[in-house]
Amino acid sequence: MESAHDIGAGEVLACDESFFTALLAADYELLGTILADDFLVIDVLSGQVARREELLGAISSGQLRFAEVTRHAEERSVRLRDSAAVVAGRTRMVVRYRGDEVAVQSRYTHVYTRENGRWRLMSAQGTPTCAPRRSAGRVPLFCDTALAGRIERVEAQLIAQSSEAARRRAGTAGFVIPIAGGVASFAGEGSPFNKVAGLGFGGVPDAAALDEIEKAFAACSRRGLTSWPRAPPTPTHKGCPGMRSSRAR
Amino acid sequence: MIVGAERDMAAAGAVRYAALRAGIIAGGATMRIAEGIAQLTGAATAPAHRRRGVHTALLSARLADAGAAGCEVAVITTQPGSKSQQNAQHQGFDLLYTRAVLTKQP
Repeated sequence: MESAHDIGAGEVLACDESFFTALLAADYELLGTILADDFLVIDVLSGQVARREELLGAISSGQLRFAEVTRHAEERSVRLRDSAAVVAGRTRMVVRYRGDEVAVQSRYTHVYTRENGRWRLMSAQGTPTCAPRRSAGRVPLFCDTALAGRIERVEAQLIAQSSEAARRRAGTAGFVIPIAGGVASFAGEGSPFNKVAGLGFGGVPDAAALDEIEKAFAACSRRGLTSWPRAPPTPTHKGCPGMRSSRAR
Repeated sequence: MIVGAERDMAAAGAVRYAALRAGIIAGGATMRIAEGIAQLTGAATAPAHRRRGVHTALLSARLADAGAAGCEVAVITTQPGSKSQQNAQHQGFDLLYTRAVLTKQP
């Protein structure tokens, strides 16, 4: 028959295992149920202190990823008191933080406290058992023309829809003209949506289409709506000193 | 002009975020999701609240929402060689490509 001590130790070990499972799965909701409100971790690599919300934020945003966590169960020990428990163990982890990947072997100490009938992790600290090994450098994301095309397409959508919203809001004249997979937009004087964006992923624009766009920008400038170079802020503004005619972001 | 532009981007589907410090708005940012791409735009921190992790918190919240929404890529556009580019690369963003900015004087 298991003693109360054995049952308690088993619960703590199960909680410790859940902690690593949550890290591996980037399951910040599960992690949130394990970490005590005043949890803090002393980072195994930097020695810096991070609190509950900082760890949960780094996990949920994907800035911190635990790619591998190997637990050495045979080296894990639990010391139990009425409402506290200390787990000591050894792991090998591969961690990615903000793009850098590090493999680290360490011994850790986890302090648990029993709150409302549940064990919660209150404090964690690791010490490397050998020098952490940084990967030779993560290969940066390669952006092929298909990905660039998608990015420029959504950028052109944002410009077009924002430009239309700006003109609705201010009641000003302007235009949105699709061209060669992108968009030419004029949304009013000084607007950040005055530009040609995303041009060229839908073929090469022909000269006539570019002429049309230049004429459209020129027409707006004739109405005193031009934004480049900025007209001096005087009430006696007469025409415009220049005109933005074609701009690909 | 900036406030108007933020409203117009919200009308175009961008979601606005506010960062609070002690109940006071310390910064803001927007994000628009389309075609699996999260465009991170317009992050700013009030001068009195700088160097307090406000920008990082705004970035973390948006990346978490983008991930939950199934986005594959999050994109930030910066001026080349700017502090913003340095910050983005420090946060783990890769340089994808350079946009040509073409201007023509009459």
